[in-house]
Amino acid sequence: MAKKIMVVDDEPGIQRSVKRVLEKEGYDIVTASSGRECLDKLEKEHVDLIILDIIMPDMDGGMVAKQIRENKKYDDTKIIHLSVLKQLPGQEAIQKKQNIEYHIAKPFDNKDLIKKVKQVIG
Amino acid sequence: MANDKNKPEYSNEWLRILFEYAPDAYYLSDLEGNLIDGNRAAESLIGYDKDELIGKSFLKLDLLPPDYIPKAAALLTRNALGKPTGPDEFSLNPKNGAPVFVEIRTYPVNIEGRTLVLSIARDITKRKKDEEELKESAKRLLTVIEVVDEGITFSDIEGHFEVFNSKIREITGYTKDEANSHGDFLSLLYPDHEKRLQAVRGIEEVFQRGISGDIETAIRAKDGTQKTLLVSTSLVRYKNKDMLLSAYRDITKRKQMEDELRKQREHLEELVKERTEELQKAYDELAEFDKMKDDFLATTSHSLKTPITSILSLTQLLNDELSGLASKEQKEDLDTILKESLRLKKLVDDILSMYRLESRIRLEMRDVQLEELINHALSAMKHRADEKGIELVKELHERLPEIRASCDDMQDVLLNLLDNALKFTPNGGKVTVGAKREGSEITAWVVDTGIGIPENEQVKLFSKFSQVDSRLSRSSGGIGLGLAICKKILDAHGGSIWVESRPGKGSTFYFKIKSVSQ
Repeated sequence: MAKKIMVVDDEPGIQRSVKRVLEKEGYDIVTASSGRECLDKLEKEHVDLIILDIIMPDMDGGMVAKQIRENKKYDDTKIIHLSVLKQLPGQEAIQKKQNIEYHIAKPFDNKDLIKKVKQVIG
Repeated sequence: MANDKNKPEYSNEWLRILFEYAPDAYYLSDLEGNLIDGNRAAESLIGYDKDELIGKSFLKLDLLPPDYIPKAAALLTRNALGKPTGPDEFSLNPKNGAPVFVEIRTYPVNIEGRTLVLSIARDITKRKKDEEELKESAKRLLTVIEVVDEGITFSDIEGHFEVFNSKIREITGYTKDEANSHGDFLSLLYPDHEKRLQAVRGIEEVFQRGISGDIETAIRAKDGTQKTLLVSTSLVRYKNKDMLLSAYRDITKRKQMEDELRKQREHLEELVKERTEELQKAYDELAEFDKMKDDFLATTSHSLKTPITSILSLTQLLNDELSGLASKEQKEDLDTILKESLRLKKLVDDILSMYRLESRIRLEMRDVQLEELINHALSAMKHRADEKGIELVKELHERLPEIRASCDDMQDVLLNLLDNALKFTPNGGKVTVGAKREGSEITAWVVDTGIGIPENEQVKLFSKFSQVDSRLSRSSGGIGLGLAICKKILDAHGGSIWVESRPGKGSTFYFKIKSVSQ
């Protein structure tokens, strides 16, 4: 069965490009446009990886990751952050604690994104 | 006397000796003043032999100055009434020499049934002279105290003034009598209760410590004017009493001038403060504007990244998916879109770097091998060099000491320099990257075989948005912010960057950075 990835981003353009790039690699993609939507969808279906934007209007990606990590049910769900912001000093430690696999900067390189996703969920 | 058994019996001779050698002058006379006897001291006091005097009256000799004759007669009269006299002061004219002063006591005595007079004279010339001199010097002192240009008072604890000199009279407007007769002179000088208490405390302090330093005090003179005085007081023991000796200097004028100066200075300070505030406000407004501009650039650049991400990603995807299917023209179109998107991405990255470097965000420094950064930059650029058939050469012949640097930023310097070198070197050319140690510094270089840069353009190269030649920049994608960022980064590392170039002969970009001391 194909691995399932949830792309969480308030920008439809980003949602589409990530979805297209990873679908081509054979992954099953679901999308969410907000942190709230991400958490709601997680309750209903299991995903292997969440590609999570950081700057979003309702709830930022850091907060979403925190809530996911507070729920044991999602322990085997991996998270990659995808943001226009570079990883800031100090952020690294927090993300390590939350079991964030990678922090990828936008704009990303397709090959680099594919490589990292494969590293995390095969 | 002879009947008193406790007392020795005196022989006449014994008594004679006592009489003759007594230190005071003894004269025995009758009630008319006619001399009967005298001792040795009597002779030497007045310079007459006893024989010359006996039988003669005091009152008739030259011995007594005429002024004293009535006084002497009066004494004899009292003796006649059986009463002793004295001590009385007399001036005597000795036979030879200057007048002498004597103190005379007289006693009526009964000898062999006659009333006689024993006059005992003591020479007080010296004492008299000392007293005169003392009086004289006291008078001189008082004169000095009186005319000196400083107020001086000498008073007891009750505030009775012995001395109240002319200067203090001039300062206060009061005479010594006014000061002494008022009863509470302090309340005249200090109508204000608080100030009066202060003055009293000052006086108490003198009693405790014996002396006071210069104390500034403000008094009210008789004419109502305020005067500022500098007072210093000492406690003096005089005639078994504690007395206060005070000296006063009138500093009213000086004080007024000081006040005036202070007011002017304060006014100046106020003016300076106002101007400074105005300048600060203008500066703050400028800084605020500058920050707004920077923030706008930063926000805009971040916002630009989102659409660029989609464009780049999807163009790459299309490029891959259409390979083999698209026409040559279509493939070239896609290629152009991709290249232009990458250029846009680089521009946005550069603007953000510039913003970060100019906003003085602290760089994350660590010790690093420059060679590592060179290797990484070379491998990142290898693909582009291969595309143009450019030979990439590393020129490093020694192990370099580490540098303390922000890795990302120093990496950017090398990438920017290599990017430019590849951009301006024609196909089949050569780009060399090297470094060597020079004392405590490391100098690195990037050499290209490109078109070179005219000397008059070289200085502009490191400023923001410089473009050497608009035709050139159009054909090769522009230089943009790259070199300005390199300069900012090296400035932040305490290093330097410069170029050596001649048109047609290629360019060499150097940078210098301090190595970690070992």
